[in-house]
Amino acid sequence: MSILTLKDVFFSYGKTPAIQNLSLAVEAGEWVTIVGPNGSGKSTLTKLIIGLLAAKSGEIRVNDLTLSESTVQKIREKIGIIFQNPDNQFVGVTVKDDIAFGLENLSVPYPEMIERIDTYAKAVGMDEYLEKEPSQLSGGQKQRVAIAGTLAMHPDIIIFDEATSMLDPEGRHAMMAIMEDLKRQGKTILSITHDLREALRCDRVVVMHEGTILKSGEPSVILRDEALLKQARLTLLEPFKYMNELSSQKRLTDQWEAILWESALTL
Amino acid sequence: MGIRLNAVSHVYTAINQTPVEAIKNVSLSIHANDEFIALVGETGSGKSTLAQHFNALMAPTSGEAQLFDVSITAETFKDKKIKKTPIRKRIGLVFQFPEYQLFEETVLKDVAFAPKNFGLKDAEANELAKHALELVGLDESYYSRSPFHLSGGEKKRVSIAGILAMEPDILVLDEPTSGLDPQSQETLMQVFQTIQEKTHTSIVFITHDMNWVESYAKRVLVMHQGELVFDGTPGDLFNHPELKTWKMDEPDRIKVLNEIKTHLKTPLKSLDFNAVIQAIKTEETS
Repeated sequence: MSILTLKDVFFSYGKTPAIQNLSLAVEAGEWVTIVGPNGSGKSTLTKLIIGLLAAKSGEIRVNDLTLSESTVQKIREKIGIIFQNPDNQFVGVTVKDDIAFGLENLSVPYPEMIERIDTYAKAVGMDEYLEKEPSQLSGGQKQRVAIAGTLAMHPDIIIFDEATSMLDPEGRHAMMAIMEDLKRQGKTILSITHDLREALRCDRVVVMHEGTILKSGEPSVILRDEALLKQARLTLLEPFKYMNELSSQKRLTDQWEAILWESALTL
Repeated sequence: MGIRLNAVSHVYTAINQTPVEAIKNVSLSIHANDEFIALVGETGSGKSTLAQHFNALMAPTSGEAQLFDVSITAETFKDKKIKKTPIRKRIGLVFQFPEYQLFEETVLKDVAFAPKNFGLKDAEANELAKHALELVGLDESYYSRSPFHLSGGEKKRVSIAGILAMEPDILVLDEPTSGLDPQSQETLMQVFQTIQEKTHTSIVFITHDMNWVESYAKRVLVMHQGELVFDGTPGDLFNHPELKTWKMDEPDRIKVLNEIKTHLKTPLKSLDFNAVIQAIKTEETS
């Protein structure tokens, strides 16, 4: 059974439709990347999934729970979100406090709380910073603390909502490594981005445009589809320009396809 | 000369906290026209602190910032007789997410706000505003629209027009493309290039994206741990042995070319796209 199911979901801000009859099923352990331009409905989708906005019609299900006023709290406990701006989600006085914040809300007993803080601070490489204050951290480090805080709550699904867009190259790479790690541990990841470099390693790319899904498929197919990307105001990554050109001249060998794919993974 | 920093250092001090030296002994010059400079560096390297010294929003803790004909030091900054407003009119600073600061009912009013605030009559301010909107590529159909109903890229352009309407000699932009989708980012970068070419305004932009540095900047400044460690062309930066030490990255194009090179038996004669395609094809047939 899918861990997250959206069925014919419709949402509008006033008269302007933001999400139109959108259906999507995410399997447990799957890493899905949603890409699309500004205004395509990506962020609205996140808000609908965690019940910050209520769909006008359609159904959203997390595991066996259908999202409604009476289940929203339970569903939120199963979903962790990492937002774009590292400064807007740091609530603690220190790193340790910040990771503890969500756990306190869940009334996790103190000894277990300490254990979880240690485990997840280590998992994101922030265990030596537990006593540091946010002002002493870089943007990338703050994002890692946010991830630790989310993981510590043992969510079923982790949503990354443009979580790398404000990070420097090193911060972005560290974040990608953490996402790969989470995938290996069997976590379900829903990542929302317009940086196609972040979609290379996932299982499935979903392209959104004007509130609907234009197409979805494996990264190796979707990320090479220039016409599709253009329609969604996205740009073809550099290696795929070479791949497509060789391919259009019927001169793309398996070896060069592999080399160029490898080069994409260095971006 | 527009901006000249002489051994500028800035130390942040807060109660009960160890003072942090955000920028250390930085010296540089920026001409009043025809510059197109990218300011890069990892998070916390001092980029934004440095940018705020460019228009007297901050005073050096030590050293001197010569901004056109005004010298800003720790002492002169506090001197009320030395007016900062004229400097800020000549050196316009656009903060990150400037669209959060839009507030007027219409696009035209929002853009005309700054020149009015600097004492111009309505008619003159509106003329400047219209000219600025034209520069950022927003035509008359936008004048009476509400800034809040525009797309992310359009909002950014409106807020940048607000600064351009003051006709600054130097435009400083803190991460102007952040939060935008790839095509809106490209459009905005092209807008800056057009402004630069048409008005000869010097532009300094902060970015994390090396692709924009490669395609648009004529000069790059690299900050690392508070120090200015590089001041030169993008080409020289991406070939610099210390690039990784400074936590910087190559642009996508160069990374891919480097990867291709390691798999070609014969060295590439040209890095032009079609030449590289030809080289790959030749290798496959031989």
